[in-house]
Formats: sequence, C-alpha cells, structure tokens
Amino acid sequence: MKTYDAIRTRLARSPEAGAAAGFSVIFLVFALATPDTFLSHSAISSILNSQAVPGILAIGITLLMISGEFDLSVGSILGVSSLAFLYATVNGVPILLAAGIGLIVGCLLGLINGLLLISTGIPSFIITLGTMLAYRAIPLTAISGGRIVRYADYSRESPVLEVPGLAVFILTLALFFLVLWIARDIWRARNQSVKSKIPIAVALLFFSYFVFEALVPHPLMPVKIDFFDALNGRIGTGNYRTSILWWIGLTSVFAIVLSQTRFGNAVFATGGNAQAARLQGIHIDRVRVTNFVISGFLAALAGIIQVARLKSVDPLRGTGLELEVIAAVVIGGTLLTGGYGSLIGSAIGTALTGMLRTGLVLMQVPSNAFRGAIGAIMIAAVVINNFVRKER
Amino acid sequence: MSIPKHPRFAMRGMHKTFGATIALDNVDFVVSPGEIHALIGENGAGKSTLMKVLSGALQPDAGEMTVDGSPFTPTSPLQARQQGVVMIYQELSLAPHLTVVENVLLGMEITRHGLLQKSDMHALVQNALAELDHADIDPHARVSTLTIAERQIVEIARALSVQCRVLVLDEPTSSLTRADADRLFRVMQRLKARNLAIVYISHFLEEIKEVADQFTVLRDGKKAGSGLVASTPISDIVHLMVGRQIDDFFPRSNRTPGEPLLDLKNLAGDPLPHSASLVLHRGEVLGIGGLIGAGRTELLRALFGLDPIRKGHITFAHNTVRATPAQRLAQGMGLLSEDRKDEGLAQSMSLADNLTLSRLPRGIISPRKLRAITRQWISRLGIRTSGPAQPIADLSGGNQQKVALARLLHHDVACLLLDEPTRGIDIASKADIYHLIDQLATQGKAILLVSSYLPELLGICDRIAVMYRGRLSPARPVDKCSEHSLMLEATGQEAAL
Repeated sequence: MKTYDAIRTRLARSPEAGAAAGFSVIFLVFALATPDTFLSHSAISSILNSQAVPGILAIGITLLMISGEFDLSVGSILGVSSLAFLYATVNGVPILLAAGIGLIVGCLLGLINGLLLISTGIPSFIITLGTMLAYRAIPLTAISGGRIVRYADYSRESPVLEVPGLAVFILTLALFFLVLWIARDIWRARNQSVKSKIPIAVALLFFSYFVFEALVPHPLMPVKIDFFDALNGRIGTGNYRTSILWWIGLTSVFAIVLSQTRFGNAVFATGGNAQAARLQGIHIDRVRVTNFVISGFLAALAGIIQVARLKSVDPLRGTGLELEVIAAVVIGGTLLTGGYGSLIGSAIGTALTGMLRTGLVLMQVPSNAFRGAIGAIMIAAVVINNFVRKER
Repeated sequence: MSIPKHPRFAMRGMHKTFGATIALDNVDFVVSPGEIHALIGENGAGKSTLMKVLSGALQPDAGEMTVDGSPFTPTSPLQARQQGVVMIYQELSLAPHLTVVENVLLGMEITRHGLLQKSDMHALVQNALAELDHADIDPHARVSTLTIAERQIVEIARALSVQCRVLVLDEPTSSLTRADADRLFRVMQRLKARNLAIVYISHFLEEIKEVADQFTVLRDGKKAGSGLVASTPISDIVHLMVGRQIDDFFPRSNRTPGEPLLDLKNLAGDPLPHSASLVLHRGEVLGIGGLIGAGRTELLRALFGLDPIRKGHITFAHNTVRATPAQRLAQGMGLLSEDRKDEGLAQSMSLADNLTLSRLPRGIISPRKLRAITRQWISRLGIRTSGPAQPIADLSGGNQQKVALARLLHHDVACLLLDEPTRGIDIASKADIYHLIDQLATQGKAILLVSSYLPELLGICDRIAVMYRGRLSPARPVDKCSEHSLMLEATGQEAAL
C-alpha cells in the first residue's frame, strides 16, 4: 500500500509520467501484436517523421495552455505562413529571406491573436476560433480554384544556401560552448532533478552532431546546404528525417526556457493564478502575447519544415491539425485550466498519437478508426491524470 | 523604549465617496512599527474601502498617507507592494501548481545567465520559513498540497521577501482551526519583534483581545474610536461598532421542548461521521460544537440526504427510510449550508428568485406574486435591500444569510439544520439571526445548530453536543457547559474534565 501511494505521489508530481506510462503500454501492445512490422525502422521512422510537424506545434500550444490560454488557429497559421514562404521562394526571393517572411507572417498572426486577447478580454478559445476561420480564408482566396502550388512548377533545382565556412564554424562552435556552459551550471547546482538535466543533455548531443559530423571534416570550406534537406531531408541514407531533430531540438530549448528561466515561472504563474502573478509584478499580458507570438512562430516554422518535404502548398494545409495537437498535449498531462504541464509530456503525447495511427494500420484496423482511438485515449489519459493528481 | 520619529504608517484625513455614498469620511489611522493594530468594523463600515485605498486598488478623494514619514501614493496593488505595504487577502493569492519556492520568489527569482539558480532559491526560502517557525513546510511542495494555514505562512514569507514594512492580514483566522490560529498568532508576535507594522482585520473580538495592541473601529465611514486593546473591554468595542448597546445579544425566551422530531442512532457517514446519536425535540435549539473537519458538516449533509450513510438509523417525523434532499424538504427538513456562496444561493439571481426557488407554485409562475411574497419576508427578517429584484451578489453577507434563512422559512420546514449560520457576517445581522432562531424555537421548530463560535453555542442553545473526530458526544444541557469544557471535548481531552 505504501509503495502504491509513493508511486501515485511520484506520478502526480511529474505531469509527463502518465503519458510515459501510457506510451509504454501501447508500445508493448503493438510490439506484441505485430512484432515484425511495428518494430522496424520503417514503422518507427514513419511515426517520428509524421509527428515532427505536430510535435513542433505542440510546443507553442503547451506554453499557451500552461499560461491558461488556448490556440485553435495554429493550423491556419501554418497554412498561411507555408503559403507565404512558398510564394516568396518561387518568386525569386532568396531562400533565407523567404523563410524569414514565412516566420514573420506566423509571428504577426500570433501577435494579432495575443493583442485581440488582451484588448478585448474575450476567452482565447473564442478569439482563436474566429482567427482560425479568418486566417484560413487567406490561402483559400489566394490560391484560386483550390489548386495546389508546387515548387516543381517553378524550378527544378532545390534551393541551395551557400554559407561562408568560417561563419558556420564560429556560429556552431559558439552555440556548442554556450550549451556546454549552461550544462556546467546546471550540473554543478545542487538539488537539481535529473529531469531538468535531460533537455540539456539532448541539446548537447544535438550540437555535437553538427560540430562533429558537418564541420570538423571541412572546417573552413564554404558550406552548401540544400535548404529543403536541412529542414526535412533524410538523415544519411535512412528513413529518418532531419525534421525529427528540429522537433527534439526545439522541444529541448523550450523545455529549458520553461523550467529554468524566469519567463518559464511567469508562464506557470500566469496560468495558475493570474491575479497573484500580477500582484507579484509579472506582466501577465506580456506573457500571454509572447506565448501567442511563440505559438505563431512555431506554427510557421513547422509549416516551412513541412513544405521542405512536400514541396507544395494546398489551400487546406494544416486544417484539423490544431485539434490533434491539443489532444496530444492533453494526453501529455498539461491541464486545460492552466498552471500545470510539461513539454516533455507533450512530445510523448505527440509520439503516442503517431504511434497509434501507424500501429493500428499495421494491425489492419481501418485507418478511420484512428480518430476514435485518439479520442478514447485522450479521455482515458485525463481521467487517469485526475485520479493520480487527486489531493496530492 | 525610544519613540520612533515617524509612525510606520499613517493615514490622515482620508476621504472617499462613491456617487452619493460617503465610504470614508475624514479617517485617521496610524500604526507604529512593532505594533499589531486591529481594524474593526461591521460590513459596510468602510473597512474594505480603507483597505483598498491602502493597497492602491482605489485612489482617495482627499487625504494623505505616509510610510515611515515619506509620502505613499500607490496607484496599484503592485506599487503598494513595492513600497512595502503588503495585503494578505482572505482568498489567498498563490499559484496552486507552483512550488513553495516558486511562489515565494515569483518575479524575483535568482538567476545566472538567465537561468534559475534553484539551489540558492531553495536555501533562501528554507531560511525564510525557518524564521517564521515553519521549517516543517517543504519548500519543494506544490502549494496545492498545503493546508490553508500553511499557505498563509507561504504568503507571509513572500511578503517578507519583498521587504514588507506594513503587513495587512484580512480575516486570516476565519478558516483556521484553533491550533493553527494560535500558531499564526505566534508568527505575528515574531513579525512584531522584527518591527513590522501589522494591520489585523477580524470579526473575532476575542482574538483581537488576545493578539492586538491597538484597535481602531470604523462605523459608517467614520472613525468611531480607537485605543489600547488591553484596557478596553469587549463590550465597549462592540458598542463602538454598532453605535448602540446590544442588550440581549443572545436572547433566550422560555422554551418548552415538545415531542421528539429527529432521532439518530449510531449514524455513520462515508467517511465521516463515525458515530452520532441524538434526539432533537420540537421547540429546541441543539448545538453541535467541535473543530473544523471533525465531521459536523458531514453529519448535517448525511441527515439531509446529500451524503451517503454507511450505517445507523434516522427517524425524522416518523419517516425511517433514507431519503433524498427533495424528500427531506417535503418531510419538513431544511439545510442552511455553511458555504453560502457556492451551495446556498444563486449569486446572479434576484432575491425573489432565490427566496422562492425551492417552493415555486405549480403551473405558471406569476412574478408579481413572487415579489409580493418576497416583500413579506424582507420586512419580517429586516433584510436590507433595494427590493425583490436586486441580485443576491449585491447584498452584504449578513443580508444574504437572511435570504437563505428566509427561503427555509418560506418552505415552512419544521426542522432547520443550520451550518455556521453567522460565519463572516456583521454583528448587527448576527444579533438579528440569534433573535430569529430564538423566535423559531419558541414557535416549536426544531433547530440543529453547528457552530465553531463557542459564545454563540453557549448563548443560544438549549443543549450542546460536541463532535470529535467523527464521534458525537451525548448532548448536555447548556448550563452544564462552559467554553473551557467544550474546548476540552472538541480537542479530545474530556477525560480531563
């Protein structure tokens, strides 16, 4: 009985524990049911590849939900900024600038959400339901007749980014040492949980990969980067794509921001008790707007990463994504009421939904049943989380 | 002792009006360092306006404030806090999912290269808690897992971490057990020794007597009086508060208990109470004392059919079968919830709607008729309101409670279960409610009264039973009880009697 209580307390203290447990169970079920197909590189890579985009969106949604807000418009923002990016590219804008335009569009749309929220005081659910519809109108009207804009219709060559070797070298090394420096600080501090060290370790690995794979062999050569491959190309010759690295990297960075910075605390406090946070001198409106901008930025980035693989945009790009992502975040243990949640949990939740989709297909379940499974899992997850968290 | 050059906090000639109402009329209020100053007044006396001015939530029309001699003109609660004036409200303002450390240092976290220095923060908070004699609070615990008393300490620790000079405590003991309240008083003594000025707002005059040095009484927006607590009897303070002498605060007419109406045998709820037996007669007020959490509210809820019953028998008006709340109402039993806001009244609905909610006439409802009925009750109970259409939320606590009582009376129940009927309401309303209870008992109603306020139990009950950890003691006639004996029973030390 005592161990049971201890486990329950432990589970209640880490929001991602429930998602991790559910993930393991479902993983085991699939692994036992279809061991040959499910435990293959092709299945695992397809799960991760397909979840990178929702996974990046989930970061912004999680931040917003922890601060007590809600964003239904991410799917539409993703659609609009994907289109902005692709239009700019095919019209001869240099590729980096085009990406910048896409990202700025995303930030602006997020900013509009945030400003509407603080100026009207309407619940963000309503505001982003409105902007979800409104933003969707942009690609629907810009792409006439519902056709698809394809990169291949304009150019055969992939866009190439030529960067002076020295710049890449210095930049990457600088980032590498920055992470190393932060890591040292965190490692030295007492009372640090293992959990807070994981994102740092992942970030270190990420940069080490760049330093040792890409740079050390040719330190000063100008680097030609295939822009699309860098965002969402195959890693080596396998089926895994670079989008997975972006997903992991961004999750790590924001996990550090959330758990190790003042801003992170402010996000939790704003969602937990906005009035108290304001009394403590926290600019809760600034926190909210910032989160909406981050959410818009990440939606745009995810959109660009998706374009890098599909090399096209259709008017309905991103439709329905918001609900899938919100479901994943809720499965990950983040409370809809704010003040409580975890990015690691959201990443696990996103992976879990992808695993469910692929696993069910492999078990020959009709693919449309997938939505039913997601719904059931989400409700089960919340019920279990509530039970575990009760009076603890 | 040397006299400080400036008072820690001073408010002079404070004036504030809302439309035609004068909320504060030329009020002076001075607190010295190392002083616990009780601010007393009935609801509507201007206490909350004064607090709002003090905390920067409202700007005064005239008057000035100083802190340690320098002008203090906050335009927001945040500014007041930054200048060292910190309020701790009844509804505590902590982020429930953050830890103690994160709450105490929210907005002033220790960082290095933008990253939190969690171990330094932990040590700082641990020291702060130890200084408040609460080293038992785990700095890593989430605030949602702490008791109300512990959360108060966390708020105080937070106030101290912003170099608080004037600490305002708004009814801090209203939801504490006696033991926790005593512990809070010891913390207040420590803060006093650190030369903080403490403004202490409370309805409990006995507590003020115990803990405060000075008092100021507000009445109708004016300062009615102030002085040394030690040399002023409670009756004088009450006199200042109500502006008239309340002669028989606890009226007790000559009552003759009638036939038994409610009979409990070894009633056990889930999980509380464990065992309760009593007989309640018509025309009798039976009090139930005990600590918060002893199972008193649960007993009333089980009686009324709101909570499940594990075992035991209830006989009410010859009904022996377990009943739902709707059936209980039909049988003539009514419950007045201790949680007026959430369980008692629909806050946004009008007085008339609330009053007649449980006994609406069949068929088409005539609003005119409802208003007429409501007006009768308004005059019978002396409810202060602009009329039957006024929303409940606009009434004072005392008047809201009268509406809740009026609803039971309108339903014409024979047995009233009253759970803390006078908690958090002003003295004049309290006196009205005591009179009403006395009147009802004389008319032959049976009243079961749960209260944590001992003078009230002793003052209006005929017999008193005490609940201790889910067990109800046999009821004893009130003349065999004293505050001392009730407290011993409530804390499980009746063997010492």
